[in-house]
Formats: sequence, structure tokens, C-alpha cells
Amino acid sequence: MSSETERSEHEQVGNAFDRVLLRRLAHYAVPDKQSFVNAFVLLFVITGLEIWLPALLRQAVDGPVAAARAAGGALDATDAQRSEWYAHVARIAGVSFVVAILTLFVRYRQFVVIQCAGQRVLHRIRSDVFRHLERLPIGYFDRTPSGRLVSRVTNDIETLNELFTSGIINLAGDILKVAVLLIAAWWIDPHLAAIGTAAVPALAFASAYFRIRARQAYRETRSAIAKVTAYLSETISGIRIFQAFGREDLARSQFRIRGEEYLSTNLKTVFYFALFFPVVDFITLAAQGGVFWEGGNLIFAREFTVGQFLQLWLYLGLMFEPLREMAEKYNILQSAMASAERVFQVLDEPAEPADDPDARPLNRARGEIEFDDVWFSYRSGEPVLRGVSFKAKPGETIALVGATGGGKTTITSLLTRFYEIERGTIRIDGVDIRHYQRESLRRNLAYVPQDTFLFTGSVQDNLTLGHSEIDARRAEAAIRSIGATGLIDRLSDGLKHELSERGSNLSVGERQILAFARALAVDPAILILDEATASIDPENEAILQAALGRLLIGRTSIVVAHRLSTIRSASRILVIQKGQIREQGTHEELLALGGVYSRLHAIQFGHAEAP
Amino acid sequence: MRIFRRALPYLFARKRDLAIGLIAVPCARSLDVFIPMIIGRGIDELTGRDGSGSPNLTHSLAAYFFAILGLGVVKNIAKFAMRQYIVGASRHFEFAFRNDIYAHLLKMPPTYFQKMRTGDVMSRLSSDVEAVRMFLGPGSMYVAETFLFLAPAVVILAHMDGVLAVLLLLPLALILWAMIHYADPIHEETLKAQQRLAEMTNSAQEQFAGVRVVRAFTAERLAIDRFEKTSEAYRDQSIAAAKLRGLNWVWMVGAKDLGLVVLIAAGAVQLIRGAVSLGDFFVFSLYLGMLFWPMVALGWIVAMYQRAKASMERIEELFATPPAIVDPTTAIAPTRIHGDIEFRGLSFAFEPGKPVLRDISLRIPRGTVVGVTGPTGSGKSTLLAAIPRLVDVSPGTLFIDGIDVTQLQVDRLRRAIGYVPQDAFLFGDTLRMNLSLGKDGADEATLQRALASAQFDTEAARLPHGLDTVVGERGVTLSGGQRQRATIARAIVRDPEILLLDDCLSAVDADTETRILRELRHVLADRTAILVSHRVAALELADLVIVVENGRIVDSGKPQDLKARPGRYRDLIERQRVEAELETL
Repeated sequence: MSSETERSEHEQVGNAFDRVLLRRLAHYAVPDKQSFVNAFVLLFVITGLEIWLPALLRQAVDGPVAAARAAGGALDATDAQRSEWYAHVARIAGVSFVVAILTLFVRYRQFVVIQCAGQRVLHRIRSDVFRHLERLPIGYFDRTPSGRLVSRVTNDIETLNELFTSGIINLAGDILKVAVLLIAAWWIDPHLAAIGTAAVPALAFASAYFRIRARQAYRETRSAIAKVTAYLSETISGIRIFQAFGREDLARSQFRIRGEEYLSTNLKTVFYFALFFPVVDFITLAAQGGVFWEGGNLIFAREFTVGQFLQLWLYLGLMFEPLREMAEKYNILQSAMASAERVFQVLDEPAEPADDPDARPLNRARGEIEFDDVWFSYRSGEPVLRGVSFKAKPGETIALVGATGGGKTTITSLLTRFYEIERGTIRIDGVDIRHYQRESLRRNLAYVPQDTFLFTGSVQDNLTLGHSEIDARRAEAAIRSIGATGLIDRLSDGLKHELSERGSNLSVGERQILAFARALAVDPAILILDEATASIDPENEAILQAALGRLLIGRTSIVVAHRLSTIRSASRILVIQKGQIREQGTHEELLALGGVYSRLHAIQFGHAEAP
Repeated sequence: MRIFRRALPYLFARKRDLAIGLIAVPCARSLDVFIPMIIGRGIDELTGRDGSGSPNLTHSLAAYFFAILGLGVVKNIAKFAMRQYIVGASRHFEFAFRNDIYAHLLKMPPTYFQKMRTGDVMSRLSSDVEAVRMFLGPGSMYVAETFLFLAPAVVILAHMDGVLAVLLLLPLALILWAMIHYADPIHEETLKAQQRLAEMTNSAQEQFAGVRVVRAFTAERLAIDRFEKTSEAYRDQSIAAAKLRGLNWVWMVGAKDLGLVVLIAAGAVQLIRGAVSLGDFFVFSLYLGMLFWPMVALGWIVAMYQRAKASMERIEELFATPPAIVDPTTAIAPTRIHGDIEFRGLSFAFEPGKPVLRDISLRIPRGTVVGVTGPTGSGKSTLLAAIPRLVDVSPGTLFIDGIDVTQLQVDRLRRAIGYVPQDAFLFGDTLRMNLSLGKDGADEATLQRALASAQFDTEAARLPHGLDTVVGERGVTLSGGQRQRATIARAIVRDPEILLLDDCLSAVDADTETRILRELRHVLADRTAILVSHRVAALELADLVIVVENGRIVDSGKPQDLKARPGRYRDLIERQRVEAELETL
């Protein structure tokens, strides 16, 4: 699937309070339950401390300040009065300083607690998803582009971060804060509080309106920038084409069109943002103006002190702040839920069917293989194999030849039980492979794919693949017996040499040699080899030919063959066409048969077969 | 600011927007300064400035309310205009600037793209342009906003009470301190976290791509261990980065609380001493909340400037790379190009000391089909790319119709050439668009003929939307052979005088290849064609075959002659026989 779809996927909106999803997510939070509870409790403490400071301010204004003012100011007061007022101020200030510092610590503590817990939960989910992916049938990987899988274990889970750290807990904290402030304001003066809170629905409405519009505009912006980036990346890789055809003008105008779309969506976003902040500011100001009007009346009537007024004013300010951000947090929750949904979709994919309860281990196979009328299709109704039957005696080499898409690679994949067949039976040592424990079956096989796959890590890691029974000695022995000591000597750290991503610091030939060595290190009863078609430098080609000979000795091999030398030395050749075995026999037999093989052989290799 | 020399004209192109925006900023900010003072005055009148405590209202409270409301309307209209026009202008800036960078990019030599990773080039046009935009647009707006608020506010506060003003600004300075103090460590830790994330992503990518190997070798345990290790590293690094961000944030928010402490302590003392009135005190406490964001913005601006400067330097680097080819003023554009090609002692190296082509001399008269073969990396593709000057050759080494190519206008030269590269690259657009890359406005019949010649007409007709099917990276996936045939059709659409086929039929079966080449011989009669191939069947259709090894022509002659005598061509056939695929079986 394209990256554009991938991007638009991230725009999906989930139900912010989907109970089933929340419950499943909560399951991952359970081990960190204590942390989350602590974080929540600390939020209470923070809110308490936050409403304390304005109260202290009021105390100062209504206490010593009011007393001083009533006494006609400090100038006319006695020393005793003055020192009493200052002492009072000092006491209140001291408490307020302690409160401020305490708030600082508690805030930091709460932040750290929740971040750590959140990250731990994310790791738990990631590792769970990854483990699950390792159990999914190969077919799932055929269907799903690897980019999407990667984004499941990275981006999607990353989005959940917000849910665990700034999401649910903080949203709850904000609601709590607003409620507490409302009560506190009410307690000071219900009438004034009512005027102030009249702004709440207006703010909520403005904020919700903005949330919807901004989200929509954002979505368009992101899809537009995705188009710009996609075009950019594509034309950068294809820039030679534009140059060769002298059509840079076309690229420029196409780029411009995409840029224009991005520009116009951006201007929309700019507009909503330009509108939102002033509207919020105005609503806040109107509420404050109203409070001032009514509060002024109360002060005028001496029903209300300036200190009370100040305290209330500060509370309203504290209350508006989370209200403004709540919409944003809701957005975060929504996209987190959409991500959660996608993550759980992966977790809900059925794993490879479990082994039969009476499945037995295959300890060391003799290597007898039998395909008995095997039918298989990747998509139902489009059979890829149609009644394939053949037998391989232990030690034989079977070469599969035929056109691409004929089913050669499929035959090898079925032997490893990557897929379940539809009809017929595949037997190893006379027993249906479904009756073996899957892992023990695979341990008897070694698989060398067409494009060698090496992992980042040392050469040795790539040979042992984490199997404890394959130690350094055995890995080295495999290298030696495959005739690749030269390669290891060339590498700076020998077996410990670190390979870069996919072994890209090695040549194709060298990678193949390592893949052969890997197979030999396992010492499998059965070898499955998909011969590379890529041309390999002559020196490595010679090593590979020798290595292949070494690899084939003493085990049954199924080789998807491309090289004439491999085909000719096979015990038997199966000509696969359209999912069926058209001909089988040795090279000489098939040539003598004068059928498909000999005809096609004549086209490709005819000149070499001088009589 | 000099570093932004190249960028500024793009911004100034939006003069009107900038003018409106720049008028709006002082309007909005002066009212921001003013409104708290109205409230302060109201409090003073309510409480009696003289300390007597008896109210002395000059205006009704309703008048105050409507004054606040009215000024609020004006202020917020100005605020809206400020963002709308300045940020809007910056978006226009981004658009125009990026277009020009892209136009420059299109002229870059291929070596530039070999040196630079695609991701890096892309970030010049995306995140780097964005960083410059952020600084020049919203950044300059914040600068104006901040100073137009900060300066008058500080003056007013100092005027009301110097001591209290200084004391109040002290905790606010904490915000600036925190932002500067933590900026680098946070940046560093976040960068590390991103690296860990990249490692984790790579690890996942690798395991998914190699899933068959993992399964076949029952190496799931290893795969899981590796992934989990990277995931743990990422988790730990994320926590480390978060802790720093938390410290930074806590200090910033804490500064506000400490400001309140200052108000409680020093403010109350000054109130008692009668140095400030209750109204002044109120103004102080209102400004405390309002000074928070300008302080944060100051920190932002510094970071924004640094980022924009680094980005602009990278963009300048891109402009500093000269375009691949600049036509000399004397360059000529003949009305007709016949297609005689001559190499005269052509040598070429991408890197000094590593010649790819050595002393190539060859005359290809118009209408000749030349087959080129030789091992991978022998220089065949470079030889072909030299003709449309995709790699630039020295003067006097390559002639078209007897004219030195460096004296030909490069556009004219390229218009005469149909080039089919080795990688069958199609753009993620409709098949029609991909074909018309060959020739703008080619009619349906031309397109169909080209498709037919490339043996792609029937299959193209069967695509979901025919020629209007989106193909390539983001569309219907074509098989390798289909892509190759589409790229051949793209070149034929041009009706070129010279056709260059760079091993472009490797994914097409031998039969089809032969059919295509026969058809091409027919369609392009009298045209010159150079065809790189490994297949004997294809080479046999050529008038002349040259064998290239290590950048030299080591053998040449008619195919049947070459085949008849022992030599590298015959060796090659021999070797290919062993290597050749059995695909066609």
C-alpha cells in the first residue's frame, strides 16, 4: 500500500472513549497501576497547591494591607503596628514561598512518574505486538506491506504515548481542576462566579468549533503535504528521466500544482488559528469585564474586599486555561484511539495454527520428501499448485525449473509449512508434516532464499541466528568447509565483523556465500535453495559453485535452479509449468524425451550442447 | 540576517500582507498593555487612591465594562489581522521559495544525487524551508509582539514602582533561564531518542523483511530479543529526554508561582508603605500573567533563529552547487538532427583516478543499430548516458552530426533522443502522463502506436482505466516487464532520431524482446539506436556489436562475425549460457 494511504490512515478519528479499547489498553497499564494512581493523587495535590497561592494573596491584601490602609498607611503608624503588619506579611509570604517550591517539586514528580509509566506501557505494547507478529502466518506478511507493520509497532504505539502521559490522566486532572476552581470561586461569591463561568460554555463552544474546523483543515494540510513530499521523493529518484527527456518544465509545473494545494490548505489552517485565539481572548475579556462590573459594585457597597476580588479573578484565569486546552487534548485522545484500534487489529490477527496436541517432534529427519497430489492457492479460486506429486529419496537433489510464477518457490514454501495446503499431503520420512511440531520440522530444514537476507549484526550472529547449539566453532567450521575462509580473513574483525543493514557492505556474491554458510551451520537434513539469478563476480561464482557442491552432500535438497551446472548435476529435474509438473527426469532423460525441457533448453543453451 | 538575503525577497513579495500585519501588531499589543491599566484605575477609584478607602468613581462601572469590551473588540481584530496576514504571507513565501529551490534542483547533475541521500535533499525543501519560514514569518511576528508588549509593560511597571518591577521580573527571568539552560540538553537527548527510534524502526523493518528467513531458521527468539532491546533503549532514552523537558517546564510554570510569591511579599510591603495603590497592585498581578508568554517567546525566537540559520546555510549549499550543464552562449540548436554519433577518444571518470570509460572511439553512422555488451560495471550505461549528456563529457570527445555536443544546446540535443534507462522508472501518475513525458500533447494515435511497438498495447488496454490508470509507485503495480515496455513506449512517443536502450528488456521474456526489437527496427528505420543487452538474441539484431570491458571497447564487429571467431564476445556467450536463466521454460 502506498505511503499516502499510510498517512491518511493517521488521520482517522477514533471514539475517544471507546470502552472496549480503553479496557484493553488499561490491561497494559496494570503493571504500572501504582504509578498511575500516584500520578492521579499528585494531580490532586497540585490542584490544591494551585488554589492555595491566590488565597494567600488575598490573606495578605485583606489582612495586613487592609489593616494598614484602615490605619491610614504606614507613615502614620507606630513602629509596633508596622512590625506587626510586616511580620504578618512575612508569615504569609513564607508560606507562599514554601507552597510555590512544593508545587514545583510535586509537578516535576508527577510529570516524571507518568512519563516513566507511560513509556513502560508503550514498551510493553510494542513488545507484545512484535511477539504476536512473529507468530502470524507468512501469508499475513504477503498481504501487508512491511512499511505498515513497522508503523504499527512505531508510530501508532507512539501516538498512544499521549494517551497514557498527557491524555486520560491529565484530562481527568483538568476536569478536576476546573471543578475545584469553580467550587472555590462559588464559595467566594456565587454571583460573581456565575458571571465568570458564563464564559465557560462560550469557550467550550468556540473551542469545539475550532477543534472540528482545525482538525479538518489539518487533515487536508497533511494530505497535501504528503502529496508534495511524495512527488518530491519520486522525482528526486527519477530526476534523470526529466533531464534525459529535457522535461524539467513538466516537473516544475507538477510540483507547483501540488504546492498550491498545500498552500491553500495551509491558508485555511492559518485562518482558523488566526480566528481562534482572538475569539478566546475576547470571551475571556468579556467575562472579566463583567466580573469587574459586578465585583466593582460589590466593592463599592463594601460587601466584598479587594483581596477577595483578586482571588476570584485569579481563579477564573486558572479555570480558563485548561478549558482552552481541553479541546486539543480531546483531539489527541481521538487519534490515540484510532491508533489503538489499528494496533489491536494486528493483535487480533489469528496466529499460525497451533500444533496438533498429538503432534510429535521431528528429531533428525532422514530426508525423504513426498508431495502427494498437493493443491494450493494464495487466493481462493486461483490455484498456484494443481496436483503436484513427487518423491525425493534421502540425499537426492531435486531441481525445480520453469517460468517465473509457475509455482517453484511455492513448493519450497509449503515444505517449510509457511502456508497450509488445500488438498493432498506433504510427507517427510513418510509422515504428514502437519503431524510434526512446527518448530522441530523447521529445525530440520535450511532455507537459502533467492535474495540473501542478512541482518544487522556480526557475521557470527548471522550464522548462528540465536541458536545456542551453533557456537563460534561451528560457525567457523561452516565457513571453512564452504571454502570462504578468504572472505572472513578479508573482513576486519573476522566473524565478529559487523554487517550494516542487510549486509549492504558486502557484495552480492559475498552475501550468498554467507547464506550458504548459514545453511551449512544448521546442518539440516533438508536444504531448500532458491538460486540467485543475479550475476555474481567470477571469483565468488567459483567459490559459490564449490560451496553448493559441498552443501548438497548428504542431505535432500530442493533447488529452484537457474544455473545449468546446478540443473545438470541434480538427481532429478522437475519442469514446473502453471502449477503442474510437466516433465521429470535427469537432464539426459529430459533431453532425450524431446519435450518442453529439451525445446526450451535448445533456445537458451542450445549452442553449448554441441553433439 | 544577511544569511537570509536570498530568502527575504520572496517574503517581501507579499508587501500588502506584511504592511497590514505590521500595523496590526502595535495596535494589538498597545491595547494589551492598556486594558489592565483601565482595570487598575477602576480599582483605584473604587478603593480610593489616597488611602482614605472611600470610593471616588469618575465613570460608572458600566462605562468601564463597555470600554473594556470595545477595546477588546479592536484589539482582537488587530490580533486576527496580525496572524492572518503575517503567517499567511509566510506561507506564500514558503510556496514561492520552495518552487525555486525545486527548479534549481532539477538542474543538478546526477553526481549531486549520488552524493546526497534522497532524505537529505527532501529535508532541504521541507523542514529546512519550514524552519526559515517559521523564523521569518511567525518568528518575526513574535519578536515584534514580544518587544511591543515587554518594553511598554516594563516601563509602566517601573514607573508605578521600580523596586516591585525589578522584583517581579526576577522570577520571570527564570523562564528565559530555563529555556536557554535546557535547550541544548533537551535537543541532545531528543536527538538521541530519535536515533533510538530510528534503530528500533530499522530493527523492525529488517525483521519483517526477513521474516521468511527468521521463520525457516526458527530464529523468532533472536528477532524478538533484538527488537525488544532496541525498544528498551528507546524507552529509556525517551524517559531521559522527558525528564529534562519536565524540568524545563516545571521551572517555567514555577516562575509564575514565584511571581505570585513576590507579589505577596514585596507587593504587600509596598502596599503597606503606600508606595503602590491597590489598583497598581492589580495591574502588577495582571501583567504577571501576561508576561509569561512573551518570556517564552523570547526563548523560542532564539531557538528559531538558530534553527533557521542552520537551515538557510544548508539551502545555500544547494544553490552553491552549480547546475549540471549551462549552455555556452555560442551553443547552437540545429533544426534537424540526423543521428550520426561519433566518439573520439572519450574518457570519463566520476571520481578522479577511477576511469569508467577509457579512450572510446567509435563512429555510428545514422541509421545504424549498435549492440553493446560486456560485464556489469564495464561502463556500458555511462557510455549511453554520455550521449544525452547525463554525464558530462569533455569537449572534443563526442560529436553528433559532426558537432561537438558541448556546443549543442542541451535541450535541443535531448529532444532528439529517446532514452530508456536500465531501471524502468515510472512516475506515480497516469500511464498517459508517463508517456507524454516523452512528448507533450502527443495524440492518442501516437500513444497507441508507441504502445504497440513496445508490445504493451493489449495489456495497457486491459488496465482498469486504460491509459488513465495511475501506475508506478502509488498506483497499479505493473510487473517488471510491463514497466520496461512502458518506458520503451515513452521513448518511442518522442519519435527520436537517436534511441538509447540501456539493458531495458531484462524482465521481458526473450520472445517478446525479439518481437519488440524487430518492431523497433521497423518503426525507427533510418534512426540510430544503441542497445545495451546481455542477450545474444537481441545483440544478433544489431548491425554492429561492441564489447565493453573495464571502460574500453575490447572487440567490435558484425554479430555473426564476432560469433564465428574466438574472442571475448564468444566467451561472453559461453559464460551467459551458464548464467542464463531458465525463466523462459
